[in-house]
Amino acid sequence: MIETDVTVIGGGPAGLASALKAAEKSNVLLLERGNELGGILPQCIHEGFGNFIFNKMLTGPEYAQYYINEIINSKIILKTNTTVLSIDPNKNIVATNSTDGIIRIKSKSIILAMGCRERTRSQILLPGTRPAGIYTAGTAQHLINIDGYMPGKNIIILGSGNVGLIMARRFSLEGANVIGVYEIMPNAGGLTRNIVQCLDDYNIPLFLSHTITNIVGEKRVEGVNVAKVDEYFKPILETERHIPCDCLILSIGLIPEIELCKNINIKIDNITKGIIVDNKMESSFPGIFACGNIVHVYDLVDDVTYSAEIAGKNAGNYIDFERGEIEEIKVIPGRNVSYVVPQIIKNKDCNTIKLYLRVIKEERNVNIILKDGNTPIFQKKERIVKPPEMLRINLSKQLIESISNNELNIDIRCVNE
Amino acid sequence: MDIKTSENKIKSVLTTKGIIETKYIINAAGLHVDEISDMINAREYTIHPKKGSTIIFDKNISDLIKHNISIVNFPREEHYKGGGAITTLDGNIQWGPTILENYDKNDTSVSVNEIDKIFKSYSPIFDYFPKNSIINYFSGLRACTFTEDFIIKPSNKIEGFIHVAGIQSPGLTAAPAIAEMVIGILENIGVKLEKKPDFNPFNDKKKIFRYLNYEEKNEIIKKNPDYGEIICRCEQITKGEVIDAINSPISALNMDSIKRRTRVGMGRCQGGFCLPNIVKNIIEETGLKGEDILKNDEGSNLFIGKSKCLINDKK
Repeated sequence: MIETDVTVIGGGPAGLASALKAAEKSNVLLLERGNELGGILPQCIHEGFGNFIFNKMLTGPEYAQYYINEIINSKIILKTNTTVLSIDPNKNIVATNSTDGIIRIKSKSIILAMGCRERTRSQILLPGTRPAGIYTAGTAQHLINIDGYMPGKNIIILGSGNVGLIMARRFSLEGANVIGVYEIMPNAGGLTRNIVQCLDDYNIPLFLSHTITNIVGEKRVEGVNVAKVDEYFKPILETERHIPCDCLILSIGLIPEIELCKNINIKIDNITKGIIVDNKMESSFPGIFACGNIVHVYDLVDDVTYSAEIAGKNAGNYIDFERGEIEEIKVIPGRNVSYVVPQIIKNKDCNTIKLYLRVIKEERNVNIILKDGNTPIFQKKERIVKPPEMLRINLSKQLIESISNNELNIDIRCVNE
Repeated sequence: MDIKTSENKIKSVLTTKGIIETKYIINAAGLHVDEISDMINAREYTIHPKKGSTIIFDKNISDLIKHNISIVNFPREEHYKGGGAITTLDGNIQWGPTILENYDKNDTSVSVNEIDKIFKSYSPIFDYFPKNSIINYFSGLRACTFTEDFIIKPSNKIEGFIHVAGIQSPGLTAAPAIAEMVIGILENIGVKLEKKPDFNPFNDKKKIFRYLNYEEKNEIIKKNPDYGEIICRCEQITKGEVIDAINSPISALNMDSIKRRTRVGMGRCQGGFCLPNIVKNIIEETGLKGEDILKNDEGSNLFIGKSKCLINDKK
């Protein structure tokens, strides 16, 4: 039995930053199932990380290494190659590795930093055969950048999420022929900067409102059928055509990996599919905190680190006591708002709060309007809002204290309305 | 590949691995029984495959059904029991199968229509089932004959040739009884069968990590530390189990065979995270090259080569 103040599950960017912050005041145990720290970052060898935190564009491994060095120089107890098997309602953790066997852990607070996983072919009911040569974008990235294997030569990419766009460029640099990126939505799924730097710069075409209607091939992928879709995302059969290729890469979204929480009563957001948190990054279960992509899938690793530092600080300060009724303000997504994180503000002794929100559809010249119940208390102009680009709002301490209702409504409205 | 007869008696079988001399052949070639019979002009049936598609749900919604439920459609389709919603031995809920005439004996693809059909027939009853919890879908082909019944009998043309054809549902359930029936036929045509006194029909029971309690898990890890390392996070399969499958007497050397032995890659991420680890294990245990590792059959290589292979080709 290991006893500690804080146990951090996951050694990716969220786990690393939260462990470091928590260790300023507490004893911390960090568990990572892989054989090295950094999570997904070691395979992200492109640059684009750390613009906000380090004021420069780092590669994934560089960004991770800064935190890994700090962890090595800290008194944090680190266990790699260690997988958590369960968490029970008394916050007992059971984990396993090859040197210690079954490990039982008792800690005052837990930080969930397990990140997310890729959606697979089945989740979008992609029909056809099951040959070799179909990979999710993240798996393909691992295969090329870490393991050193080429998954294919003539590549079709389904979905225009960021990892898919990055991989379009990566395949091109490896000498492969990227035939095109096909996206079912009328707009791209990834950041504009990635569309420009990964597709436009390499002359890779992006087909919006298109999907794959069949996968053909017995042993390896031999081709796919693609078709345009109508406004209800149904393929238009007359537009269906066959494209020969030997590899299909799927970049069709990421979902928070919350499966370890199944035995504990933690509230999950229906939209983000992640853990519902308050402004201290505490979940609905007292003493269990969450940060990074297990809460919602962030655009930038810098924001993951920010969320982790909040979780780490509060988990490190956590004291278990019988809590009375705590005043809660619910943050409610309104017009053209898909979701907001944190979902709950606890009005006691909080500093400034950063709200992250995603819109449902693209709009130009809009105001983000915050309403205390029905009374507007804050307004911010945006020239353009798009679903792939997360919006950030900073709420001052004064503003938070002024909220009198227990609901904070957020709307996005066109300036003329 | 071919069968040799002489005076209407079986003589030998030519296979890809050499000639086997024999007097008796039990033709249990499933979808291909008619092609085998054709080799000696002993065909008494034609196989017309019927495709059945099923969908498999994530284990995290297994609590939604507590019983196995069969669906009966009216008017009833002939030779089709209607499928159902069942919980597999491993705990996933499965819907299906459908039934569809399919001329191609190799086509196990799943079409949009089939998935829609399953949903149309089941979702009125299970409207609370989340569609996004589907983790995979499969098709198989039933080896149906036009009599739509089992054909288990000695050939009336060639001595020593026994038909076991048209084994469609409930073929699996009937398999032990079919085996006994075939033994009876063999004895009838004069084969002397003797039981080996030292025959042991039992395999050593494998230790399956996910079903052990924590004390048992600890014990097995102490004996073999590889059992402490989880390779497949979704199904909790350990490195020890994967290595055992690779090194077993009938070794599993490709992705699908290791998957079928151990369940790696059968969970919600469908192998996204564990594939690179399994490739590494195969290489470490067998010395195979990564680019030679297959998904299943010859030609289904996972990779086309090492990174930079295309750039080097161009130079």
